[in-house]
Amino acid sequence: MIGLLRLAVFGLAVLTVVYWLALVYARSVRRERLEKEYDEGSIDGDVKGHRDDYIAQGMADYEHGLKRKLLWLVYILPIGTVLVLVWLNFEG
Amino acid sequence: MRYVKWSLAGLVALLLFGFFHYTLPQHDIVRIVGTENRRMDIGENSWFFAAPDVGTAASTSRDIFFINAVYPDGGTMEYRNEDTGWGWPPYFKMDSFSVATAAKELVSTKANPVWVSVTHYGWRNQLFTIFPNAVSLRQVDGPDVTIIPWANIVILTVLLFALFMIRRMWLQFRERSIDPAMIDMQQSIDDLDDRADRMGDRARGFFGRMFKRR
Repeated sequence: MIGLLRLAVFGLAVLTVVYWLALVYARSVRRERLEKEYDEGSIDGDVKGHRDDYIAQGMADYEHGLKRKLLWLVYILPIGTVLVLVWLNFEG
Repeated sequence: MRYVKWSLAGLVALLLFGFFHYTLPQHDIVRIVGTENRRMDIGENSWFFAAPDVGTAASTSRDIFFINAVYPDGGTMEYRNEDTGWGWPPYFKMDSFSVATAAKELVSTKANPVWVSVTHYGWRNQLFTIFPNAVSLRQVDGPDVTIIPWANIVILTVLLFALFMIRRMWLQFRERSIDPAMIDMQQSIDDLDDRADRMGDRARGFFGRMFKRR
């Protein structure tokens, strides 16, 4: 079972790096889009406040949104694949 | 220089191709003629053997299942049948004993052939005594069935997607982090330059005043 432990430790380390990269990238893309939206002036007059406030509000919305939660797939998909493969092996 | 560059690129491409050709699953359609179980003292070819069975002790000498098979055209092939366990390559194969049993079940004669699709990875090489590892066996209708390599399609698609995303991430990082930093740095160099110029002017003024030169 030492093999399983080694796989789990290294695998989780790699997945954490991937998750972190994906998170930084997703936030950066979201922030850039918010900046561009604001600079194009396509926002309704009422909500249009200070630029930094608008971006901060947009980022806060993102942190609670569905797309942010979908990043957990970085962990779920590989671990799920491994579980399915192991299970298929025991079946066959 | 151009030859060096292209040789290096060719070498990398060859290594990558070799790596994937060795590691990704392939399907052979064969007739199994027998199975055996023999002790191998694994030496310098150990790279091409998997780990000892899950739960057993590590050793360079161990019993390995083999499957002897014949291609439809009469060519021969020998597969090893080893657990990959939790290690590399990530097939998570732990059922080598079941595969050995299935292989015994599927043994057939030339007169009354049973065709089997053997999913395997690895290479057969007589020179180094290395064998592909049979991962699973499946009986098929005949020697001419078409098998769509779904696993390879999925794996290569995922890898291409990963490459694409790495490129996107790098471009985003450059646009948002490196370029602004470079602009900042350029700005401070310019400022420094201006200041040096102003200092120079002042110095010239000082010396000018000292020596009454205009």
